[in-house]
Amino acid sequence: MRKTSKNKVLLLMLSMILLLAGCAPAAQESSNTGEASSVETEYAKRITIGRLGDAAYLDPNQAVGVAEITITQQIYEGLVKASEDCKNIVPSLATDWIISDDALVYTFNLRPDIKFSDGTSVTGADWEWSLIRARDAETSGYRFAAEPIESVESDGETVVVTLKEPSASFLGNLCMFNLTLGSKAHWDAVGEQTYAQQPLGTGPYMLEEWNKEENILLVKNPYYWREGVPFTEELNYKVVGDDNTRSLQLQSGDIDIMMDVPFSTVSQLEISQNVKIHTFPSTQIRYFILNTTQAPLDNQKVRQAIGMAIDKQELADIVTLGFGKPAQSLLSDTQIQWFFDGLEYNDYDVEAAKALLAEAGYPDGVEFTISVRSGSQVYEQIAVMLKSQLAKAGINVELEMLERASLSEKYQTLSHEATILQWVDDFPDPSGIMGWTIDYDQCHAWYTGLNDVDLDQFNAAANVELDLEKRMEMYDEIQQRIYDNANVIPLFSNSFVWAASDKVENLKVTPFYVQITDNLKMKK
Amino acid sequence: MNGLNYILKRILQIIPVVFIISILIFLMLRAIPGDPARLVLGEKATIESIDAMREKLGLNESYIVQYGKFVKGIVSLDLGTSLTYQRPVIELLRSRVKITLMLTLISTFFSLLISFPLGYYAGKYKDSMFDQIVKSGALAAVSMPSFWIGLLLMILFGVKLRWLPVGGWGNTFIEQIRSLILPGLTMSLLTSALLIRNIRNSVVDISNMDYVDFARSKGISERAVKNRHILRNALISTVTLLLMRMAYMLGGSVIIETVFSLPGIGKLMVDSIFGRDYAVVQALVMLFAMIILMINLLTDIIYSFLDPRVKF
Repeated sequence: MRKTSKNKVLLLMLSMILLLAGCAPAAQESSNTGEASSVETEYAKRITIGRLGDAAYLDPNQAVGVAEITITQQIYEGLVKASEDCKNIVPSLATDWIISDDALVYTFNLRPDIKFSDGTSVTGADWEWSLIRARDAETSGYRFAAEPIESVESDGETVVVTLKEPSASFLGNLCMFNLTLGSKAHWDAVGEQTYAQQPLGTGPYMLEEWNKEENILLVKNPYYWREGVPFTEELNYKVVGDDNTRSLQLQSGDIDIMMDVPFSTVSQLEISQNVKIHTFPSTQIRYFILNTTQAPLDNQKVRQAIGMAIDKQELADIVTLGFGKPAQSLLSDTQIQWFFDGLEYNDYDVEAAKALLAEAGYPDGVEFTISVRSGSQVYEQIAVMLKSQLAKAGINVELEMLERASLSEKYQTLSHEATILQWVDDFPDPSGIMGWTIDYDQCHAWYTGLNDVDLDQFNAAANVELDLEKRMEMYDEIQQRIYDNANVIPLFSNSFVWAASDKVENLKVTPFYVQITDNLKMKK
Repeated sequence: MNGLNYILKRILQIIPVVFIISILIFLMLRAIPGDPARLVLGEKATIESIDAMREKLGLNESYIVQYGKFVKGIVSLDLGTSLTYQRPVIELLRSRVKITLMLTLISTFFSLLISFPLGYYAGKYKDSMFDQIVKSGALAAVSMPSFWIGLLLMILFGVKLRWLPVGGWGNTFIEQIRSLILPGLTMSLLTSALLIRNIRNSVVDISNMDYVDFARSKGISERAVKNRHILRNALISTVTLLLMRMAYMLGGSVIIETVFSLPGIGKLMVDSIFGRDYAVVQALVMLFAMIILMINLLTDIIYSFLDPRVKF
């Protein structure tokens, strides 16, 4: 008798668990919570976006990475911004601007009655504080964009920026995420540390809730200056670290949009019902970084031979599964105005590579090690393919897998031989990536240790050349010279690949990885 | 009184162990390559900004000063601020420990539910068809990688049947329990398999003991023989195993937490090591050390209740 009652207890417990599982609402509904309010009834109030990792700071002037920028770009706005195709500079909080003849004084006319998302009005002091802070933020890796600023004056109707010296890229720099408007009063009230956790800007959305490593909930800024924008009331950025889980969550309806779909997952998502793959042109390129302070990579001919021995087409086809194409110039062809289409480059040619190696004094080939970031499928695939491709030309490569911290320490101290890195442009001007690749003081010429003083001076001159035609020619020459130096070898460019429920409309991501949320909406 | 003295002695022994662990973790963390300042600033960090960040984070101070701050922090329960999360470590731990603790409890509950009946009957009916199936099942459960089982369960219950959420953590208690069922079940499979084998073998061994035959010959009911003589003795080694597994589970499972997207301490630990988030790693290692020491102590105490021969 007692035995049966014990069994009954067990059975009861089991059924309670199942009941608990069965009773609660189906997972599918959880992302569409909230009833229709001001939004038209046929569209959902909230869109849930699944992403790889969480932000650390939501302050564009402290440490920033892609996880941070994605969010701060919805909260903060600057004077100008890049157009959706990233080819032009268009007004944002400034309506128009005048540049003095000596290119030193920029006068911006501001939109009237702009308010922060807490309802307080924007003052001239906010502008002065924000732009100077961007310049003086010592721990920001992006302060170079604000570096040309000498002084900022604002009466609330105009912003007058005076530069230390003419800068041809300055208007482009102003499109950067760190040259945006923040609230000085808020900063004064809460201090730097809290400011990074409780951002306050004028953008389309504002921070409502932030559960670290779980989600960031943004809600519509009630004081936003553009009528009827954004369409969707709430954006919920949910952290789902595992790629497989993220794609399963999209299929089950737990999330509505999946950021950064790994190329290898696309085919699996394509066949699932109710899911649509979205691809966007990007400025992302992967590069082979060669340390020129170490033999044999100190020899320019060896580096060029390496470039010739890489079958970039095969690399792009296999790694990106059709979402990429070979790259020759340092600059992305999405930056069409600046991209040099007349670049003289060497085709893939193993025999020519061998001959060039012999000419460089290495008839028996060379050996070196590629330090690769472990745990990243794309980087591991590139490394393995490079090893097999280069072997055909007598270049023997060892692969060394390192986790992120060890790898960055290694290349930042120039103790590596070669590595693979990537770049996405931030503003519509070539000066960002050019400076990064050429400037020795900033980052040892992108961790290649090549101190090409002549090229550095030429690049500095291009940065202050105000004649557009002439400046474009100068950047053409720079692209050619970087190609010939072969310290940074572009491998392939690829599109950004996202996936979303087929109910999602107007999903847009710019080539600079800015999510345009103005008309993002989702049918119920 | 003797027992109390023993416990007190054991607790006092913990102090030097904790001290040594604190020195070890402090030095080991700094011995591995990788600069926190570089990691915080990311790939596009300039040399200048890295220097400024090092200064800001106090990484330019001598090890003695840094260690002094660490120890002072432990004593005053101020564990510092996480680099990566920009939150006080103690606050970070509070929310995460809750998740890992709930997951461990649910997983233990499932393990007990699965392993006791299966293990006992497999042992009782040794070499029967049922025993063979249970043994093979346990072997399979030990061999299958948990991320794979996790994904299969998610596909079945999350995507196909839509009964349970596909990973993630809820806001309400019900949602949280629901989101812990699949990871709890996945995690319990290994523990269950280990327990089943242990219980089965113990039951087989103990059933052949003279005292069991003697108990039966006295005419004691089969149920009493099972509960008082067989299961109770089988419990001794099982409890040790279970508590060890619980200690392991409390350390958090990075695989389970990643696959099910649960912000527990296992993932926090791994992320913090990769992010060279010194304050968080130090706090977590100290916490784990305390948990392991406590569980060991607890095991010894429980032993004395289960086995009257064990005396302090």
